[in-house]
Amino acid sequence: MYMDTKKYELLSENSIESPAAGISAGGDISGRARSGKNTLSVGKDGQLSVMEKLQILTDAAKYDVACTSSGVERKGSGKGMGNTKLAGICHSFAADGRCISLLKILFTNYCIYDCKYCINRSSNDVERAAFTPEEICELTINFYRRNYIEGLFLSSGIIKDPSYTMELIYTAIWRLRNIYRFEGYIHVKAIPGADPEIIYRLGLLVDRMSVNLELPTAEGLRNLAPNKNRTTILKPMRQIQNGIASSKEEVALYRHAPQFVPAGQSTQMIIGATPENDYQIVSVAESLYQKFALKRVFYSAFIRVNEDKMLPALPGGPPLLREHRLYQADFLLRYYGFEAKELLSEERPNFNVLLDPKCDWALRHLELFPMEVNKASYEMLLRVPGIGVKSAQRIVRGRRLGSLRFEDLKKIGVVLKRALYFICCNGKMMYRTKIEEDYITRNLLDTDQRRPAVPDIIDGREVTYKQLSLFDDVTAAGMVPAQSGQRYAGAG
Amino acid sequence: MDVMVFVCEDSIEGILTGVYDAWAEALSSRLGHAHCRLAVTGRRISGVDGSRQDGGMGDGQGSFEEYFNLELFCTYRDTPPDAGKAGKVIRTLRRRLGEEVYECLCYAMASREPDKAEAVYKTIVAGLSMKEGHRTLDKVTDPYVARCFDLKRNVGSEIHRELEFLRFQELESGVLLAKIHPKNDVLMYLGPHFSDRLPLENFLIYDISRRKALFHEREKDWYMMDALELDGEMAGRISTEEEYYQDLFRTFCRTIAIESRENRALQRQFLPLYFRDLMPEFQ
Repeated sequence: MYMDTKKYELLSENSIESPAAGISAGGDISGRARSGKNTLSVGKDGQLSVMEKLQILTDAAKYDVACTSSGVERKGSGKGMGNTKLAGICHSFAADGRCISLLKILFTNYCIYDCKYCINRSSNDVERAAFTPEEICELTINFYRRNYIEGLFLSSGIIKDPSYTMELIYTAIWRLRNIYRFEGYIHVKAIPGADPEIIYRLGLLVDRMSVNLELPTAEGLRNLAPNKNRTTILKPMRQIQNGIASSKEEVALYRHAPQFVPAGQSTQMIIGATPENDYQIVSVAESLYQKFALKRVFYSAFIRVNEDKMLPALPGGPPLLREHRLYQADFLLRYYGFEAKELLSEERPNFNVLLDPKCDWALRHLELFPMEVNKASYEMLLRVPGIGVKSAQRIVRGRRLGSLRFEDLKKIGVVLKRALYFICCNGKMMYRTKIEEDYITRNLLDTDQRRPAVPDIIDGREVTYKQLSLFDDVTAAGMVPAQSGQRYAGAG
Repeated sequence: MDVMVFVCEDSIEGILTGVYDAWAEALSSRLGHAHCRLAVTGRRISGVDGSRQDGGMGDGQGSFEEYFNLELFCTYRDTPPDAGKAGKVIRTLRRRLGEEVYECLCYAMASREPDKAEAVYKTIVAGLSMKEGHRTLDKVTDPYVARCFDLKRNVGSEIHRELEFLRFQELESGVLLAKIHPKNDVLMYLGPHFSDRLPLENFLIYDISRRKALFHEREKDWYMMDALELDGEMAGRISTEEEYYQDLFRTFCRTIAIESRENRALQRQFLPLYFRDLMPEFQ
């Protein structure tokens, strides 16, 4: 959401978005305060078909990034519809390669806020619409029973004020859970500034909640989202964190105690709309994991949906490669035991364009390699390029029964074309290989067929990669496709 | 000395009966398990459209020649499926090797690869010779164990893809119908998931290639039926709402994509064309 920016607004704003007119849905909400443009469409709103609303409110929601349905395993009760899987399930993939796991829509795209990056900002002249709770329930149920989706992701523009908007969302979710007896996955946005009591009530109905951080730093937020501030964003985040912690304690004591946000909380931020470097962004993510116990931080490459002098121009399109590197680093933080300061530093504040962060780290620590696969600790195995969490686990289990050879590693799933420069089996490397940065770099790039033409972006290290100038005719955009994929549903 | 090849039906019961018989033979032979091999006969799947030829499925007779070249110095013996023998093997596997290994073997037996029976048999031999049978899968240096693991991974990922990409259509009667054409025989593994998820629905999942179906009746257990033709006329009568929701979902899928990030190759990587003929959002 975020990034895409404008669209994101939901997310971004999510906190802030309001329930505007959309409300028409309930009927009781109609005709509330909205900005002039919003008002224009109001009359029309009542006449929009569900198809038209779905189009408008999907379009308005598409910049939100998180579409995961993971984090909680729950069997059906037998009296309703739905269950949830721990790993999440993707049900389709859109033309941009992003997974479609949840029905990701806005309750309404009316919004009282005017965030510069968001497509739904109040000063934009876009078509506005709002669902009724009933419509949301029918769509969710009918998509779900056909196995189109794993559940609902509901966000909203801000109508009237945050608490009012949250109350509307609550109404829809309550109906879905109690009238329609839906037991599948539900993810809602918590809107900063909303009454904590509503957030608590809603948290007992849903699987995941997220509060959009919107932008990595408070300063960026001040510049681009004048109606939001960092303090109000962090407050509900803290509330949800505490709610989850105490709910876990209660469930440990009383098995049937109601669960609060069992799939955990996530957030998202827009990358590239403001001048932060990668080191700042990764550090922010790290502290969110450590201090707010988040399940996931999502990054959204900024997409310029609005004309605004405060927004950067992006001649090369959205910074997808940068987004991809951030996700890679994010996995290293969460599953591989890396710390932000190992990956980047004040002196090297941005990721290597050519190499993923793990290879990059390994090349700067060649003194540790080659590593003996049959002896190295699990933690160290995780640091070898080409060895993932599953491979490392299988290595540790497998070597108890006999020492492993390269062919065994291959069967285990180790990516030897990467790992071969960094490991040995029983004292021998796979081929005669130099343990030397330039040599390995060249070979790694060669096998990956990555032939980017932007060596000058690699701060201060161009010389190392000089050989690559051969490939200068290939555009940097060519690097993106193979890499930018995230199976979001499973990632969460 | 000859190698004895036990030709078994392509099913869990068939293969495990083969394991039982091969085991008995190995015990009486000087060469032990090296003297025995397992092979499957059965139904042959060719192509997505469901066109196929029958092997000797069901009768345990004969047509395994289609699957492998007969070798010299081998004696072939048919082993008709026997629930009693298979049941004994299953009990032993669960007790000695544990549920994780047993599940892995079951997945491997659903594979379309003809060498699966041999891989499963020799993996069981390896597992039962270990002190800690539940560690069988850790024995990555054993080629049969590694093969089983491969097969299981392949089948497991296809099961997961069916959970993702299978689509129900609502028929006039209110019954939900899904058609699939998996490469491996995964139908059975979809039952627990969907019946837990849709307990109040009447649904039917039909494997076009194998002509088998999985049924679920509202608030009852699911079951399977073999050798079944789908009534095309009945299956074609969809409910009045069906088109409407397919349209809505198509609109949703089209709209949710961000134009400036379009990446068809990535989409294809996650959602191969193979599945798309049965998915309404690609019609």
